[in-house]
Amino acid sequence: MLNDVKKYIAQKRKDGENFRVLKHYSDNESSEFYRANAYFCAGKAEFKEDISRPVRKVVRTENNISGFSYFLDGIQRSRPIFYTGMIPVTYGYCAAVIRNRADKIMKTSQFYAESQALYLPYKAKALKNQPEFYHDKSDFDAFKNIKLINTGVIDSNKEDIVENYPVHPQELILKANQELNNERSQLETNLAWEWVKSKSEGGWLFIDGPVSSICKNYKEYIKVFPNIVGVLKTHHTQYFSFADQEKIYKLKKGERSIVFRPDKQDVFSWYLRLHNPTNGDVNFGLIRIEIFADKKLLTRVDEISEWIMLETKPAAQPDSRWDRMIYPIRDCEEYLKSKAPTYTMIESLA
Amino acid sequence: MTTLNQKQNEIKSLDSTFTTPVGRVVATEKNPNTAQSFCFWTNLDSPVGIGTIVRVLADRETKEVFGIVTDGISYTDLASPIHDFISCEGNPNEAEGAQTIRPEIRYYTASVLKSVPEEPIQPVSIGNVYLADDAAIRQSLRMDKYADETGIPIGLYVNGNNMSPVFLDSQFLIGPEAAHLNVTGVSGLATKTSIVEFLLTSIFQKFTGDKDGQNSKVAAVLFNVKGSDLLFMDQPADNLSEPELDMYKRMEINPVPFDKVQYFAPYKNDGVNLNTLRTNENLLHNVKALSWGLKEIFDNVQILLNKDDVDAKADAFLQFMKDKIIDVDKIDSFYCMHKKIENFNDLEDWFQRIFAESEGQEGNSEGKSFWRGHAIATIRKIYNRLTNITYRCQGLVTNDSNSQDLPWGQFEDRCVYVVDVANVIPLAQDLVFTRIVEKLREQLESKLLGVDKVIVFVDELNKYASNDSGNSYLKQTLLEISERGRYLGLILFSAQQFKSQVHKRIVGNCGTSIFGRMDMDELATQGYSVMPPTIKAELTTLEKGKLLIRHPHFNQYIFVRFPRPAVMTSHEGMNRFPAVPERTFEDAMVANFKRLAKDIKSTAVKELIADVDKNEVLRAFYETERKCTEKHLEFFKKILRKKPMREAFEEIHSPAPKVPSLDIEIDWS
Repeated sequence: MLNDVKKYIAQKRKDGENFRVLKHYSDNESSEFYRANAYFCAGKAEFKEDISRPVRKVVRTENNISGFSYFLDGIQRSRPIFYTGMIPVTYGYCAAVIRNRADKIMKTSQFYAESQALYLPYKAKALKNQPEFYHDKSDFDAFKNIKLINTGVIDSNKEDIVENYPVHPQELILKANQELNNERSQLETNLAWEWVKSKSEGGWLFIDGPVSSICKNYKEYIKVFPNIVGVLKTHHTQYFSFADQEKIYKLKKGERSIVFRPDKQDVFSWYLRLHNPTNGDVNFGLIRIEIFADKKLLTRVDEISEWIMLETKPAAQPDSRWDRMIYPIRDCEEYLKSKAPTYTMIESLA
Repeated sequence: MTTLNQKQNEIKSLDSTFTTPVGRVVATEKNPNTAQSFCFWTNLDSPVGIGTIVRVLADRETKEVFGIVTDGISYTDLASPIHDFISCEGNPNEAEGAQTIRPEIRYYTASVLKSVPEEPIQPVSIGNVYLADDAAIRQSLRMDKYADETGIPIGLYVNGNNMSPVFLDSQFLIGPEAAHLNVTGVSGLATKTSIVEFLLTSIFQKFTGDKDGQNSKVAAVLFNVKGSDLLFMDQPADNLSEPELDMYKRMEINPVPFDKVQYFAPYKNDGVNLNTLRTNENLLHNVKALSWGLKEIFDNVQILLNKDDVDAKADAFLQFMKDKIIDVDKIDSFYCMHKKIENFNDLEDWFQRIFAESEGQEGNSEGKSFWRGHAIATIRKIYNRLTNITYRCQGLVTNDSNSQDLPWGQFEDRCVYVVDVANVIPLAQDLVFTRIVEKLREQLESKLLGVDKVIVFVDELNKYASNDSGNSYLKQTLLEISERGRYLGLILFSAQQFKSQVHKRIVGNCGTSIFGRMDMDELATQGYSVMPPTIKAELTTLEKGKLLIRHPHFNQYIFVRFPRPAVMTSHEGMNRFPAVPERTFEDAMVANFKRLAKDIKSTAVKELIADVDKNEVLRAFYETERKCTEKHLEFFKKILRKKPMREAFEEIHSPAPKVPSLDIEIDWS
């Protein structure tokens, strides 16, 4: 069958059609970008530049120095470590850091936070119809010095939806991971907020992830101190029409899309291609950037794009996501990994 | 027992150079620490390098570990070079545009020098790494146990601005626990000679005897085998730099030349000029002739004979001569002796008598081929070999009994005796080495030498004790010293370019080894297989004044720096005291007399020897040199037999023979 496909592609290419073959440069084990995303949606957006020209070239200025001096990223680690009956108890660790760059050297700043907890379902007093096999919280008094996060709670605001309590062990593990994900996001948001409050001088903050929540929650502060940029490496929401989106996918290295404002969000956003998609993947090197939705900042979109282009050197290799990740973020990850409990340690509990 | 806090406080009380951690011990499953080695990382600007001594203070226990860096690597978080290539888009100039510098670490491997406490023997724990201060270096090299009593400074362990003296234990350097020193290094850097000169200075100034204070008298016998290397040991080095003087100060050694040095050199073939480059008038006062007669060399005569010649029969005859003939007081005519056989002239006479006697027996069917049980052919062979020794070793071996020798029985404490054999033939060199060493051994054994220990320095050991040539007497002598010398106080300091080419037992018996700059080819040989590759690499580019040391107390190789010796270099010496070209007989005699006493007037010497037969002048001078300690010229005058020199025959008419007068009147008419 593969031979037939090969012949087919060869023929199509011969006919001059736009056929790209995916080349897997990275280790298959860690190639998370090649998995189909769990969900997709079409998003509404308000375009802030001329939609008739959705692609813009980022013009490189004379200044070869990036304006970013702070970089925020977080990590998480989890493992189910034991079962009590059929209930899995998951250990979760998450941490976030803002690393400071001075004279091209990455250093630790005061912005660091970590959290670890056991994730398990237990009966919440305010809720009804909880599954019988859920333990009472008192059953875990032995863990009094350990933070417990209830994975049995679906949504405390919807107490009547009892039938959705997670009961399947895999479901509980998935729920634990979601909770841990939320915990990490919260740590990152808190750190970003701490940074905003500190009004750190000397450069902008680059956040690996969206900035919409911090822009929403701390709008008044961000207005005064808007020096934060969020970068998204995965693209679940499509803000352009199919025709325009194809143009986005055809962006070349150093080209960006027009700026748009996602619906109901306090951010301006645009796409930027960091590396030419030589491996055929339309998402290769494609990132989406978010900044606070302040009209004054629209004039700095090219400048910020240029900073990010500058940040592609050095490349974030050997990370498999190097096409969309900048090196300082990899540095943050490595720093956090060096402080995190190793999987060996976590698994040794089991 | 010291607690962790106490230990940490102890570290804090030191100079900040030694209290700031320079790195941290790390261990992984793939690269774990052991009881013998550990790994640690440092920052790029850390003063740690190959050979640095560090101390590790474990995080969670009171253990303290000292180690020496034996290997180092550096790397970044790049997993593959292709990543950097991609990052730079194939253009090296693009690297300059990098906004972030990849973290780069230095990752070192260190060998454990010492753990405190030493038991139980455990792998090195995780902890901070500090530079070692003076006390730590003493402790790590186990010098704290002996440095103050029997320590001999060999140089300085240098790390940045820190210079810590490194001591050898005299008990292990010049006995009695272990002994002997071997220096290896390429030629031309003057490292080998320099370190030996420096170490001798150090020994002479610091050695106080064995642990019980006994055997404190030490002297050195140095064989100068090439050029003028050792010929200016009594002259000061005039251009020692401030840093070098600081090094001396740090080791508490006075940068002064040797105050007691005696030079010995054989004569040239003319028997009047000394065969040495130390012939400048200003340096002659401590130069003495080395001249041996039959008595001196007969014990070692085998050296001068072709080994193939000395078969059992010849050996038996030589033994017979030794027992019954040479220097025997009893004059036994049965053995054709008419007087005591003391020199080669007497020997010649004795042989002629044997031959005459054996020839006289001709016709006697039994006796014509034998004399006293020895074949005439064998006797003739020995005669032939012995009598030409004086020609082969002319200048060193004399026909008569006028020998000049080292001051046997009167060796002085802290005196250097330099025997210059640089310009004599190898055969004579062998004789000099072997006889002097044998004599040293004899006298040390009988405690008659005048000192308790003698350091013998032999350069070019791979020539004199090579592992691939036959069994020479010299090699046997060197083996003897290396194996049994330390019991007697006879210590061998040796040097060579290629240690791999020296007899294994000789280098194997050396307690202390020193390595200077070396060739990679030499380092690739089996003998260096235990040396870490980085140390080998370092040795190939070792700068002047830096050495690698192996000593019984140090369980690893240690790099040290040493200052130039406080004696004049051969180059400087030859410039300042150029050797005098071969002198005329008269001038040479003047120089010889000035050797004995500086104030002797040259005109007085010339007047005395004018019109006197040269051989008689030499005889009288040799006797003066041998017997007289003052008023040399008067003594010389007294013993000089003033026979006029043979004059050229003048063609004159001799008076006609007296014809008896005949009282006969002849009538002619």
